[in-house]
Amino acid sequence: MFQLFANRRFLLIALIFLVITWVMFISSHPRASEGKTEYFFNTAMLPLESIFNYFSDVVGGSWRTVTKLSHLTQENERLHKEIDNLQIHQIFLNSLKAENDRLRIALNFQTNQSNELVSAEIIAANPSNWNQTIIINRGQDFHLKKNMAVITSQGVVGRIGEVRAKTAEVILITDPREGNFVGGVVARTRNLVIITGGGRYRGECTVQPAVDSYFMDLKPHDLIVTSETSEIFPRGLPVGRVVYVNQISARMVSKASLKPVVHLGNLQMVYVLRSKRDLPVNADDSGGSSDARINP
Amino acid sequence: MRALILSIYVILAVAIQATWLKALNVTPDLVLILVVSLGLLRGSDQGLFFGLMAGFFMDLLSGGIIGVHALSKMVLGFSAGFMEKTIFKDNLLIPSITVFGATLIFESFNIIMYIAFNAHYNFIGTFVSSILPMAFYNAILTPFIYQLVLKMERWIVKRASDR
Repeated sequence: MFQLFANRRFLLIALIFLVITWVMFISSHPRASEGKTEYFFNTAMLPLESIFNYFSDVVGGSWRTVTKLSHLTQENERLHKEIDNLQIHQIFLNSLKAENDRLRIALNFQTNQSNELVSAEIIAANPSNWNQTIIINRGQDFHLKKNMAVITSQGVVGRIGEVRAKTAEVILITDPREGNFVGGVVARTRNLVIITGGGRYRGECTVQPAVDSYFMDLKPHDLIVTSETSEIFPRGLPVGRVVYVNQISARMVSKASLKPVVHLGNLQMVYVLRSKRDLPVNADDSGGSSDARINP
Repeated sequence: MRALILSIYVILAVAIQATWLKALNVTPDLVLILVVSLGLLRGSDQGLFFGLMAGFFMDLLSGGIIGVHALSKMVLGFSAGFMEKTIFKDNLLIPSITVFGATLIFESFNIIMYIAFNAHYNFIGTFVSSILPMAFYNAILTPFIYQLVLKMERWIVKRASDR
């Protein structure tokens, strides 16, 4: 009798194993959208995660306020000076823009369109360490769609994954899942590269030549920006800097690791680009430059 | 009653992992600690079932491949349950050591599963930069979570004996 029970128990465990393996196999294929069960659980967890996030923001904000109180006067003075400088700069920029518009009309060029940006707050991160995604508080209500670009003022963050009624999942550029890649260009040499999620260590990406059999000239600290080949991102957005190169010869590299310019573990606010518009190539985006900022 | 309390524990654990602990570079796996704790206190069968359910819940919230966490946590709960009869339940060191070892083994198993499904992980780099720190975090947090599960168990036993 005991033998039979033991065998049945073994059979049950084996059956569960088989079912899970089958589910893994099915879910590993690309799907048009997530299943209803996933949608339900993710939506059901939203209120609790929002409450937890709110408390973390309140506590974190209060702590930051307390620690910064002593510096507030100095910071206020510095910001006033910065505003004055920026206002003067803005006047010059306005005159340049007016001139640019006049010349574009004269030459019959297409007028530059500004990017349609939707600002979004981060509600939660993925509870698992192995899927690098975050949840933002904008979704179908703001007409977000799968694969829209997500950026900050520093550079590329990732792309939109699943879109729900009031939230959306952002797949970070560091996520190592299959198919998560960005077309890029080395700012110093203008070599085309492909950036895939997952590098040497956690939070890094891999840089490879755009054509498999080619090697490239790459050095540590080289800046990689998005290229015209990117289907999601406008060109010229900083992606990251090379931190490690797999050297083949003195000048040739087959593979490298890249650290994103955006600190992805510390995001508070991101911008979703509702449509891809190419930015003008930034004249300052040479390798080794410390200023990798863009102004979306 | 036990199922209800454990469900609340898992929901809170996942919410805390997704919000308060997101500032850490590597997030401790509170669900893994819960599964080990229950396996140590209730044995293989309940450890297996709880691991399966908790892992499946994490899979649904994580996106991507469904079943990786369910499989690893199911085996984890089952394995931890084998120690149920041999350990002294009030000793907090044994659960911490078990969780440390379990994190190293089962998170490595997760990575191997993801690599098998074409994810671009560097196993050695991930082990050094993610799994090892996570094992330390988990081991430090284990006494607190184990105590919670132990208190729940004692409360349920006392409640049953009072009736």
